[in-house]
Amino acid sequence: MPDTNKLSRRRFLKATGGAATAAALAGCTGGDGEETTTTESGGEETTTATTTEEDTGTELSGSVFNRILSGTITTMDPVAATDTSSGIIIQQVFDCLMSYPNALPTVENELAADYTVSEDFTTYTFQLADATYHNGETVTASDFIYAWERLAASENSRRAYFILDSVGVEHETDGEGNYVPGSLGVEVGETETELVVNLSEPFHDTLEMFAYTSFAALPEGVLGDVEGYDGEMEYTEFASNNPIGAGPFEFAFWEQGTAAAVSKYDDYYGQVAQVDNVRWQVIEDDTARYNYAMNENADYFGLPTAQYDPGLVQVESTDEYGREIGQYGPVRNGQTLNYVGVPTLSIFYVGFNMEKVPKPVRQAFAYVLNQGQMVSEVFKGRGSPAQLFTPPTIFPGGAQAANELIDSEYPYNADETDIQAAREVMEEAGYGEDNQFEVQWTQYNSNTWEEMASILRDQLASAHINMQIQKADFSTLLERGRNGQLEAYTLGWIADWPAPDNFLQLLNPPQTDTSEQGPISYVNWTSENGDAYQQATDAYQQVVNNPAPTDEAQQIRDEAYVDIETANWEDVAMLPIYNRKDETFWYDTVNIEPFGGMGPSRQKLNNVTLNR
Amino acid sequence: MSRWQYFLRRVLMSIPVVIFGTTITFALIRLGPLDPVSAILGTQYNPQAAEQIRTNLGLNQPLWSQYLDFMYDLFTFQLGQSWVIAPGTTAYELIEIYAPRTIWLGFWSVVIALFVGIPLGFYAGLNPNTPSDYAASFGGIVWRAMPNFWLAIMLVTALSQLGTWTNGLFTWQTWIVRTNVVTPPALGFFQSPVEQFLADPGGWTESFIRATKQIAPAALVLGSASMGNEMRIGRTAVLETINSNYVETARAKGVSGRSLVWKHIFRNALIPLVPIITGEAFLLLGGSVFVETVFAINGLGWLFFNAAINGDLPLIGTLMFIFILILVGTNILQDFLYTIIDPRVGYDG
Repeated sequence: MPDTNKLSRRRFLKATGGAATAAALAGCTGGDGEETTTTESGGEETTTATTTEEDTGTELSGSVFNRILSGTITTMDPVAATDTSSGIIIQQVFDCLMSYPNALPTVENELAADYTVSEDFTTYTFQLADATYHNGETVTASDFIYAWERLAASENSRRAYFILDSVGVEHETDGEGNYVPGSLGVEVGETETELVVNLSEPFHDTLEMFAYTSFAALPEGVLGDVEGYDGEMEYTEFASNNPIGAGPFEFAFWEQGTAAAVSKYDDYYGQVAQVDNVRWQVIEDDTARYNYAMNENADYFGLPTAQYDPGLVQVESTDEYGREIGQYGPVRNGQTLNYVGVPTLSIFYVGFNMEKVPKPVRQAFAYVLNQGQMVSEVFKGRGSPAQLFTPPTIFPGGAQAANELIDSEYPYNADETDIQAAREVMEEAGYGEDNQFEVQWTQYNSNTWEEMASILRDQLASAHINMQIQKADFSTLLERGRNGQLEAYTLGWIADWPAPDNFLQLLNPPQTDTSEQGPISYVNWTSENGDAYQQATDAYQQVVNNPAPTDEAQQIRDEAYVDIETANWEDVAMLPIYNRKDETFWYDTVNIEPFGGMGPSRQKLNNVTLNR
Repeated sequence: MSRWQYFLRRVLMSIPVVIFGTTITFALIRLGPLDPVSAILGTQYNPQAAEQIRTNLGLNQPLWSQYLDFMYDLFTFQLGQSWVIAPGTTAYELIEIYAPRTIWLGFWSVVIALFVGIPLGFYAGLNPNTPSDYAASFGGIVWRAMPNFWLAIMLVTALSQLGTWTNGLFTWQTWIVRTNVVTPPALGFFQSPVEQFLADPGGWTESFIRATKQIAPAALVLGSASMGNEMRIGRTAVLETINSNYVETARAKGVSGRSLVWKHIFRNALIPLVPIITGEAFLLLGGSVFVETVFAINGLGWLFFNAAINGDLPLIGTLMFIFILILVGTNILQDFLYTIIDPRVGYDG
């Protein structure tokens, strides 16, 4: 069923990006922090490493790298986790075949020591590294078969479509289209550490997908939630007290809603961790997180926008990945912090339900919105203004090609508030002082976004558009989106893998129909409400028809990506606002590599060292 | 009517209250716009995954059947498992984790209010229109007027910066015992207090002091409003009693000052304070989402709030059920207290 797979793959794309969004909108990346306590006496400052004496939780022995999580942790089961906080810890405890080194957007081998791909790109053969789990067992190919079977078939899995549809590993389905347990096209090769994976068709980001923690290895038979296994432990025991992986850190403790920690795994097959423990305190409130960090309870953290002052950043160097590295400070406690700011592969945008918001109104939004102004005034420069839906670093031809396209073809005056043009397009469509268009703007509960919405509302008032601002929590916002009840809404998207199709599948018109089950985005793009409907649809079909990781297919996809972007400009289905910049700050007590564009949650911490 | 008949009547009358409250909870969560499946999947919404979760959670069954299951489980104390906040963990376990902090916080905030607010109020009432009365009354009004959300943020910020302001001479974090300004206190020492105390009295005491110090700022904030309330009401109540005829009579009879105050004034002045104090008991349960958030004490209030916005029905249902039970319980307790304090109130009528 190649077609279904393709559609679902897009769906997947949407889905994954969404998670990022959620995290982003929630306002944070997992910050970090440290739990050093600093005693000041007579102007002399002594820093002592402490265990968790001041906090709740088990005490840890040895050095502790202290960080903060801004969202609550829900589970330690890699196939069940959907939130960033859980993901950050799972990333340390479990290893996958591939990984993003320091979250840079190029995958490299992790548990895979080596791999080969068949000529038709449908068979991947992995040689596994000589690795052991935290319980001492050896990592074998049959563990992957078991772990992936859980991903596909366990009732606890929330990511079955990753393996069945997104990557499209061969499998059988029953009459109703459900996965038949045990039918995955994954097998043990010639040795017990050779893993053979058969795909039903080529997919250009297969290896990137295998870096997702959902695909992590776990000891065969540890849980009994798939057929043929009784389980060595209870599910809740594994998911909250005793997860066993092959990652650089062993699970230490997790106290619900409070804190969690992992400890160094001495027999790790790769670089053994340099710190004895990593501990995360869960603090959801911005102010509390800021105070915790300023009291030097955390080594490594993020700063909330309210407490962030762009004037304190001193960038010393910008590297090839666009990472800005430097200093930040002095901060409230007098210290100067180390700083890294990284443009992450993300896009934040305004989506329009095109059935309810006519084209002239959408164009008026595009004329009025000044992305540059919003980024500098509202987001304090923590991002870069975007006119394209694809982040410039992964746009075909890179940032330069992206800028050239914007300069030559962007129809609405980039980085300028053109109220006059907006008014004209509205008046041409018959709107006026006495005939204003009413539009409802729905956004996540965030003061920053509300500030932006108010600016837009005031500007649009002069263009005969009366905008009402409404806020909603995520569960409500998305539910209403899927039911087609939104008009203008804001959401974001963060890359699961570094390719434009991950983003642009949101703009595949047939998948935006909210009357169907499970739309990818909620814009209802049809030929009636958009002139470029056909262009976008055809272009996306080109992407779907050329999935192989070859230069030829790549080129066809690249052309199609540009077509989708220009179609979106024409019809204004989604109005991009900015690409977020993730920034982290740390005291001199830590040496840590800057993270890359996949975001801080993808960084493994075995190379971190402490100096106190 | 005997005490027991009275008690039975009160208990019977509370049953419809409990049913009504839990029904409303169910209706708000299941009929409102909250979708737990969306909360679980986030924007990573996949129809297949969603369908599977829906089936697992039983959300595909007819609403009336979900309602009956929900009510049956609650009233037979089969408290379900959380859907969103901590999938697979029972609501009971979650409450066990989150409740102690909130109770600890609530306990200290009520204690602060009781032992500062009431004595001050009584003192002011016994010495009306003196400078100390003015000082106490003015303080009470100011204290009452400071909103929690403001006071909490100011206090956290100030405590965090004491070290900088005093040039390192005094830091809150190192004062007496080392604690953080924010984050929940460690309450492990309550698990088997007697044994632990006997095994290591010094360590136990230190843990106790540490936990108390850690919760003190939050408790002060949370107790501040009630402290002001109790002070004001205490003052008025004392003034009213002190000027009543029976006090004058007692005085005329030559009752000593001490006995006059403790036997005739204090007891009667407490009457209007009883509903105020029992009302505060709610702090023990719900705490304050805001204070807990600012001090990063993720307690019951925080859990309740998160469960509510994520549509975590089993968890929110259980919490509501328990809250309602406790509230109904405190109301019954309040009536009993009346009969003990106020001789005019009996079981008849």
